[in-house]
Amino acid sequence: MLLAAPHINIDHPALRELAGLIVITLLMTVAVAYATWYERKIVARMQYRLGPTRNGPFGLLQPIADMLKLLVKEDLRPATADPIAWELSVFAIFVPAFLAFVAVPFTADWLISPLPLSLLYLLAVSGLSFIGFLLAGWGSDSKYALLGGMRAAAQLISYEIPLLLALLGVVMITSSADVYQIILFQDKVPLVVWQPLGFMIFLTAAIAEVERPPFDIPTGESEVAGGVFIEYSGIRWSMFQLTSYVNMYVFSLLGAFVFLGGWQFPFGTDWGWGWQLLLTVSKMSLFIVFFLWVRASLPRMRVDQLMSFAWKVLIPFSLLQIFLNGLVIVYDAPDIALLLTSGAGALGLAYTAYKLVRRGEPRKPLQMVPVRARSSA
Amino acid sequence: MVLEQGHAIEIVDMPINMGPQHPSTHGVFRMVLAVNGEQVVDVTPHIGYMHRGGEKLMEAMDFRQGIGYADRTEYLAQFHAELGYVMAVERLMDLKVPDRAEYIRVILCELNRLSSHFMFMGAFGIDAGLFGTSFTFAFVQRENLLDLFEEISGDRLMYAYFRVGGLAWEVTDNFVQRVHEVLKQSQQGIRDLDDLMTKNEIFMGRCQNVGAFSAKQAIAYGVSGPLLRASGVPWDLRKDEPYSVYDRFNFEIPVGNYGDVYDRYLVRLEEMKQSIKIIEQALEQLPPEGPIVPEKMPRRLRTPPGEVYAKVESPRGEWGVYLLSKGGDKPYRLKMRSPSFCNLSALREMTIGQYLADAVMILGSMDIVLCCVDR
Amino acid sequence: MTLPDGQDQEAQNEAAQPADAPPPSGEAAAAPPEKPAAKAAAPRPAKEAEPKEVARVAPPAGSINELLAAAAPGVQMKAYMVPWSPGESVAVEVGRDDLTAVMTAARDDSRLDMDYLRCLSGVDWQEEGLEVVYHLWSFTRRHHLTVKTRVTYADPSVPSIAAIYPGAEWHEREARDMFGLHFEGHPNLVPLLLPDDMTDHFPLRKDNPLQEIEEWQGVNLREGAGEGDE
Repeated sequence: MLLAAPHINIDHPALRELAGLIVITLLMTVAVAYATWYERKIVARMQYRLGPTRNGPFGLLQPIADMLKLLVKEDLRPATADPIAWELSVFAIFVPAFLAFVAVPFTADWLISPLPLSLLYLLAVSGLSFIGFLLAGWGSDSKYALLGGMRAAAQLISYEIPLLLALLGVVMITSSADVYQIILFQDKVPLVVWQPLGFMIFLTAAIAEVERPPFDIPTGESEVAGGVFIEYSGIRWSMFQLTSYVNMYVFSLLGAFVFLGGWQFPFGTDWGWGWQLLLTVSKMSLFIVFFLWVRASLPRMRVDQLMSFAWKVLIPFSLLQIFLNGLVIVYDAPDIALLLTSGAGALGLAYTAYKLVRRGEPRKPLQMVPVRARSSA
Repeated sequence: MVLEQGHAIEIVDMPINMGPQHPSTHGVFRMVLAVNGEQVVDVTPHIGYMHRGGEKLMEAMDFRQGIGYADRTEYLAQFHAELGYVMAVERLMDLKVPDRAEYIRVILCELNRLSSHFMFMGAFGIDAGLFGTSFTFAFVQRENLLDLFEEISGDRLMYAYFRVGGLAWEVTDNFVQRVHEVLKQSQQGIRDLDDLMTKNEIFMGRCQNVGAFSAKQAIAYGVSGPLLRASGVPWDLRKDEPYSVYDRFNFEIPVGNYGDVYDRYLVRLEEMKQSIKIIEQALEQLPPEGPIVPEKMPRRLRTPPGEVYAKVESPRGEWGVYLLSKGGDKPYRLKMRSPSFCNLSALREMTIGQYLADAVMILGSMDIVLCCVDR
Repeated sequence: MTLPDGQDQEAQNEAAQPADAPPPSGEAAAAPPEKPAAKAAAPRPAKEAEPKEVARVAPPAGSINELLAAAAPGVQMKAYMVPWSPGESVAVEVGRDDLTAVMTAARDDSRLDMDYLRCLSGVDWQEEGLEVVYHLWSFTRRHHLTVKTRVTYADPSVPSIAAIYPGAEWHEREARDMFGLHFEGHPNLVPLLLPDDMTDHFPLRKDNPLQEIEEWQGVNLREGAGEGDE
């Protein structure tokens, strides 16, 4: 029973896709709710704490308790909020995030809708959410929300570009914009080996797209008050929070597929759906744990530092990555040239980021003025 | 939208209210910022939400009751507030505090400095955007210190342990050993916080060159404590106007160069390490037994008429007590010169011209406690 | 802090105060070895004659008041010692109208160089008026100076020194809140600690009685207070 591949036995293709979509949506909702549990436990352990322990064994019923609480909360609405913008923003953020799952191949057989340009589709759909932030910021009729919305939109748009360019480098190598084909390409070596610079840029831009710390200006700052979501309470607010986790899943999956080899590396498609799912999930989890770890350890960047980092550092380096890929492809260099050039670029990026912070003259250390005992007991 | 002839778009600075309810842990404080885009153009601090009429209340409390209130005017540096108060009375009454009591007072005050600076570290990390890691690291250490204080004085936060002339009662038998344990744990805690924050690039980017305050400005505003030292003035009351037994220890005073938020953070971090040094020396020099109150201790605490200004170096700066007595057992006028009040008056000067996000960092770096500001 | 009918409380207040004066001197005379505080009994007899002020000792020659007199010539000042503060502080009392000149001289004169305003307090001396006390310090010269000035209830106006010491701005606002002192030339004399509309009640003045519980404590626990384990 366990080894038989679960298939949805419906003949009509559209209905099959619809059933698949429903299953995926339900599963991902539960998965995302438990992502909150996962995050709270892991981040808590990094902070000398335990996380949820009371609701159910190991606090496993905590997400359900949270959901119940948020459902019965009073539905507040600011009196001067723009009715259409304020209501729609929730959906404008939530729906595109779930739309991405249509093109995500969890295993070799489990794909709702095979698209020849699925990578482009995924990026396009996840980029739609910035409209929701603008709607929320404007519709809330609050200065904090407005500031948060503006900053969110600026951040999301700015970090789209290096994300796209890094993935464009991958597309150049694999000659395909289909995530499925990219995974199949990686049967011997995952793309992270050939594109370390692209990987680093993707990772940074992904954290910014998901709006996790250290790039959580829209949701954490705005004068330390909560940003765009200030005027939302109860179930609406929880939908925003869940969207943040859904985005995290989407980008983790994308990273796992594009750079780490997905379900193909290292065992290949011969090993059955169980192993493939396990590989997908574990590679995705690597990314998720990395996001959580970064959240617990790093403070927040300031808006202008964030923007200058995107435009002055990430975009030039992602363009450099494309250029280097182009050189390697045009001159038919062996594959190892990819690793060397991209590796050098990655080191250059690390060095630039390091220098960016410690620029200017070296800081004078504290002076220590000694005090000597002047009398004795 | 078509503008009619003769109408112009008016560009105003946006007022932003950081209301008395703060997500940060600074207390009930209200700041109205006027921002032009991202730059702060004007700051109006509003205080007084925690004003309890302390100076009037103290006029009704005699010199033993007043110690309990002194605790509550500085709820993070209670031993320093108590010390300032009892020192003022002791000077008026010309009492000589026995050595053992003085050493224990110094040990407790420096431990209190440690716990106050841990609180600063925790809260400052949150202001910078660290989700809560610095807070929990710091509070684990504070718990150790508070447990020790509870063993000695019976209370975790409001000790009321110092008395005019010495201490209320003898410390516990294993005091020295317990303090050594706590010091070891605190050293580990300081290392943890140091590793977490000091060399973190994002943290440095948030703190360096933010809120720079020159020495001249700091002196003009009456700023004291780590803020003054970070601005480059090597002034510490323990060194320059030593009180109690501080003139018997070797330690160092960290002095910054730029007066910005990062320097203030570094100064406080370094001060914690120096406090540990002082405590270790005090433990060595502590007389193993001896009285904790003077032999000729009057049963009723009555001061002669006179006035005195006693000051101690609290973790926030110079905590001064101006005590005016007309004889009798209660003060005629007791003015508490609180460091947070004077430091906070410089907030406007420090914040104008900075980015909006930096206003929170600057306020956090001043390490104010509102009970001290408002009394 | 303010009670609607201050009459009973004031009467109690005044009944309490003179009762304070005779016992200490009586006991000091009867049992000197038990009270180390009797060492400072020298001012005590003076207390009966001048219950509000301590006998003032003039500062020795070469003290800071001479520097101040040289820096601000033509200013009337009375100088005396405040021996309880460490470093033997000198206090100087000046008239209200000379205050700005004195403060400017204190800050600008190179021999004084008092660049730090430590503390600014108001004091309510009841019949003798209101007083403002300034504690100054010099980082470069390392000397203290306390400057005092007295005004009457009828005209509680003192020139503001916020232009000379910017840190005085908040201290002066607080003094206005608590005592009703009016600081001329202050840039923003609005309530600081009290509510914004509370501009006519001055809590720290002595004619503002304390809350009932503190009054009760003051009267009933007075004899018991101070008795204890030490």
